[in-house]
Amino acid sequence: MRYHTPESFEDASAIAAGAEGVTRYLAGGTDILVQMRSDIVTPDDLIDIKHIVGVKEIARSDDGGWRIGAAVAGAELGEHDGVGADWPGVVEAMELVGSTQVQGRATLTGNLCNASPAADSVPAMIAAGATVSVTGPDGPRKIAVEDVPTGPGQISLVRGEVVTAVNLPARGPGGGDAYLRFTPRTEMDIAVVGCGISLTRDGDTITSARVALGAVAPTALLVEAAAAALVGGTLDDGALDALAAAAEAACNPIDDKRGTIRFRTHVAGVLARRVAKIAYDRAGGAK
Amino acid sequence: MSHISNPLPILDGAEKVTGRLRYLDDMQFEGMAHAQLVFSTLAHGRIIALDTARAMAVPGVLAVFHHGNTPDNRYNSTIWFEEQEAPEDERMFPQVVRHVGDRVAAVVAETPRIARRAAGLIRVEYDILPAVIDPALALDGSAGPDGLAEEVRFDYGDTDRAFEAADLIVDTTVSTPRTHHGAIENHSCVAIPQPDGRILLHSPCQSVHAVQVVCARALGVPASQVRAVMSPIGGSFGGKAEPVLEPLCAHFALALNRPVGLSFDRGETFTATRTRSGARGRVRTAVTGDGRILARQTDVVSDIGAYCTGGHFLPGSMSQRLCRLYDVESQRFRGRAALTNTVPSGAYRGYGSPQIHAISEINLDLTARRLGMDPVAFRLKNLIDPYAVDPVTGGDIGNARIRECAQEGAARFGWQQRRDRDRSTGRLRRGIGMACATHINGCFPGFHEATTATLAVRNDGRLDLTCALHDLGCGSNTVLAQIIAEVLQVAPADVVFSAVDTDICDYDLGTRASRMTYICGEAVRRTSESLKAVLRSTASLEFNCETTDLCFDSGQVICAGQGREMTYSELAAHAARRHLFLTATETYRATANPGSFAAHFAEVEVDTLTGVARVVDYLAAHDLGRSINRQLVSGQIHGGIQMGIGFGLLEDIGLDPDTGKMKGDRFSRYHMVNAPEMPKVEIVLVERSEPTGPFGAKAVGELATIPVAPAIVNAVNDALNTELTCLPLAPERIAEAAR
Ligand SMILES: Cc1cc2nc3c(=O)[nH]c(=O)nc-3n(C[C@H](O)[C@H](O)[C@H](O)COP(=O)(O)OP(=O)(O)OC[C@H]3O[C@@H](n4cnc5c(N)ncnc54)[C@H](O)[C@@H]3O)c2cc1C
Repeated sequence: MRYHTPESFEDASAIAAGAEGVTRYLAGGTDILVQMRSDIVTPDDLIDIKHIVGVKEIARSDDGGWRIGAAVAGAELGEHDGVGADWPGVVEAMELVGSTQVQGRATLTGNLCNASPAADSVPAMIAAGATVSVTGPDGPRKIAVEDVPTGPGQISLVRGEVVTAVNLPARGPGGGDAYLRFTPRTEMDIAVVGCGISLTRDGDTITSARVALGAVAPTALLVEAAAAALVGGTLDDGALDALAAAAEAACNPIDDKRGTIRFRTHVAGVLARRVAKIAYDRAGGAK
Repeated sequence: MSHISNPLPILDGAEKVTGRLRYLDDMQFEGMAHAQLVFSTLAHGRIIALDTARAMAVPGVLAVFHHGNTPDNRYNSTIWFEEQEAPEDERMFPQVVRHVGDRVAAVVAETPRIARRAAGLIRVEYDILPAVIDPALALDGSAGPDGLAEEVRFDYGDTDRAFEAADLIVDTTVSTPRTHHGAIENHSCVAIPQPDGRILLHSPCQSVHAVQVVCARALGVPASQVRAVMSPIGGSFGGKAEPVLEPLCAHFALALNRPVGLSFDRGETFTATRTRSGARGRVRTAVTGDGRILARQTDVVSDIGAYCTGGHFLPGSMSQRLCRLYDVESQRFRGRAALTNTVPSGAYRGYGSPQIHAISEINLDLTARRLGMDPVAFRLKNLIDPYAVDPVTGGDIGNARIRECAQEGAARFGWQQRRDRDRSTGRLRRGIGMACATHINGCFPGFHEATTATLAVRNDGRLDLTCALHDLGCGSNTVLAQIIAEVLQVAPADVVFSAVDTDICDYDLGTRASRMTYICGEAVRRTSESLKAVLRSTASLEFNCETTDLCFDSGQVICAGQGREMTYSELAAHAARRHLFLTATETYRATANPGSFAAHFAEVEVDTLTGVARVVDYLAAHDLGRSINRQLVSGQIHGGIQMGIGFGLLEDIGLDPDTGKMKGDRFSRYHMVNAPEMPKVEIVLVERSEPTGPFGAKAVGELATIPVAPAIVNAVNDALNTELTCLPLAPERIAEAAR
């Protein structure tokens, strides 16, 4: 295995583009190092992105959103007041990842690019309308987060492409987001279902919404029918029922030890209701 | 000063929490090769071809072992002394594999990595044989005659008449899951050939003498050819009671004439060691309208997996527990151990008690409900009294204080107030539950329940204790040091424990059956008294005084009359000049097997939508005679509750009913309870002293986990007004019931 420490994303991209065998990036390493130790993946080239200037920075972007460097750890994100004020749902999702030790390393970018269907931050990022900035052989581009994973362990980036940052849009007035996951146990567990919702309110009326579900399909889902159930209403019981029904209908989960299809589908509806209420309250100014 | 009941921190605690203690897998031995096993992927099959050529061709591979080139000696890994009879159904590598995870072959290589890679290159061809996963099918004859490993029955009183006379009969069937021990340290072993031809085994085990005899059987050599030494152990909970790796490792090392290490990873420890047996038990309880139990019929089937690796003892141990908790005039019991093509079961904290108590205590709670009685009041009407005689064995149960546990526990928990509270009908429902339990103290009257200890004053004044004491991390050595310190008035840290080594220590049964404090504790107490008598007589010579003029304090013998004192080390030096040695050896043979008792109380909050049950409040009342170390008692109780919550609510290895594959073979799919799930725990100790125990002490460690699951299940059933009886009550099951 060759271990690389490029100092720019262009170099990282060039190394990856020129590599032939199995190539992986090393952000926090909380997925890839575990996979290497247990012989699940044996990279020929391992490209550490943490030596790249600015890779651990969180910055306000020109449009009023946030640009979160590819190596910003969960703990750093959690301590950043600005992002937490705008996107508490994204931050709380990332903070659910692992333990204190894992939080010191794990990144949004790694969580997304590892492409686990159960990754916690991904539904929250999708709900937020986040994108990733990518550098590659054909130059830079932006990809919507929901378009990055294509299946378990699979992403849409082409050889030589590397994520440089996660972009969260400007929050704007009357917005709120939230994320909840269901796990049998409170901590150190993998989502059986995850749900992220972001919405905006004008008074009591919901003017826009994005609903995303994790762990109920090969990739995290953006559920437009569920969002449609919310928009134009005031989150009354009817809207919550419609939301839950749409969330359940979108589920296409696996049946495994961690949850049967029937249970995961049921819980998706339960969670969607709870998350919507939190996001709605936050959008209304609740802390 | 008194050392009894002191909350002394565990003696090796600092070493452990600072990471300085080296476990076997951390140690390097010169010239050590590494073994990796290859496991069966089938539940039942005959190996017809084994292609090892590609593995052998890997540079660094030293040997490949399999059924074709290893001894065919049959053995049973549960024996712990020579000549112990047991079904000998194991061999190092069987040709007919009996469960997914059974041992097919092993590669020994220069490094663990090479061994692992080469092991992956071994190709196995099987004739597939029909597999029995369901224990009921193993017993109904359809799977051939071998399904029944053991059957135990008892029948006393006139059960039939009692059932006819009953006002109410409550019939329930409860099933309990197969679970993993979850010790932090996985299984590990190192075998080193000795220049004299013997084999030395380092093993984190529960009994070096068991390792010795089992390996001797498997190798086909006299036990004197095997020396076993206990290495520091990272938890066991029964999982390391039976030597699993040791016979293989010993053979590899002897065959290659090199030290060989064999360590399992977590998945291997899950699938290729032992589990708690599953159990399914039907109980019919006959009661009078005012809540007196007239009779009980119990029929339990235990799923013991593929080999008689301890599960075959379960019907016997379960039957014992049923006669030592309630005063029931007539009972009939049938317990059967069923062999299935699944991972073997073996010793696991409580040895059948958690299963049989779940089965019987859930039944009793539902009985109380149907009688319209308070579950505590109903139990109090039937609980056993001190010194009651067990109707099956005829032995008495000692100073049994279960009534006090139930009464004082209920009062402190506020049972009545909690029962009287209004019930929510919303999403979150609260409920309360309780359960009683008993467990044994040692193996008496079965087996040779005895411990031999030698205590000697060292030149430096500390005390050498030579005894095969296997502290599994529970702090038993700390407790034993306190007992010695109390008798001889030294600091507990001044007790120096010998290595646990078959070449050094007298025979001992090892750590099992809740015998450490009660049996080994009494043995070291008596040895300490003996040594004290030696110190007395020697000092009386030195001081030229009566032995009765002497007293002992802070490691000194004091002759108050003369105003003189002498440290133990001075006394030892003086005595040596007279050719006297300050040493004593005692063998203590148990004469009783009193019960330890507990009543546990739980409050749960159930989310009816997600099915998550949280234990929000908990009280454990224990009759342990007397606590030698309050802090360790509390630690055992907390740990028992942690394990019991898992058993009641979450843990299950999840055997696939068709393939026998384990779905919960890793911690991401097997949920043990961790800190956020732990309730606030209140502990009530009932300390009325057991006359046969050291300073009145009896066991607490195994018992602490036994009543937990039924108490919690009873609380969930109370919260939801359900009759859930299939454990664990995982969210999915509860959500289904609450819909
Ligand atoms: C004990 C433990 C508990 C965990 N708990 C959770 C949990 O609760 N929820 C959860 O969702 N996850 C959990 N995880 C998984 C893991 O921590 C997260 O997925 C984490 O966010 C991964 O981030 P990382 O920076 O460590 O990724 P890394 O391991 O560094 O990388 C992961 C993958 O992303 C790719 N990658 C990294 N950087 C880039 C880049 N710049 N461009 C393109 N590809 C890139 C790598 O090639 C690799 O395939 C847990 C892991 C552990 C060990």
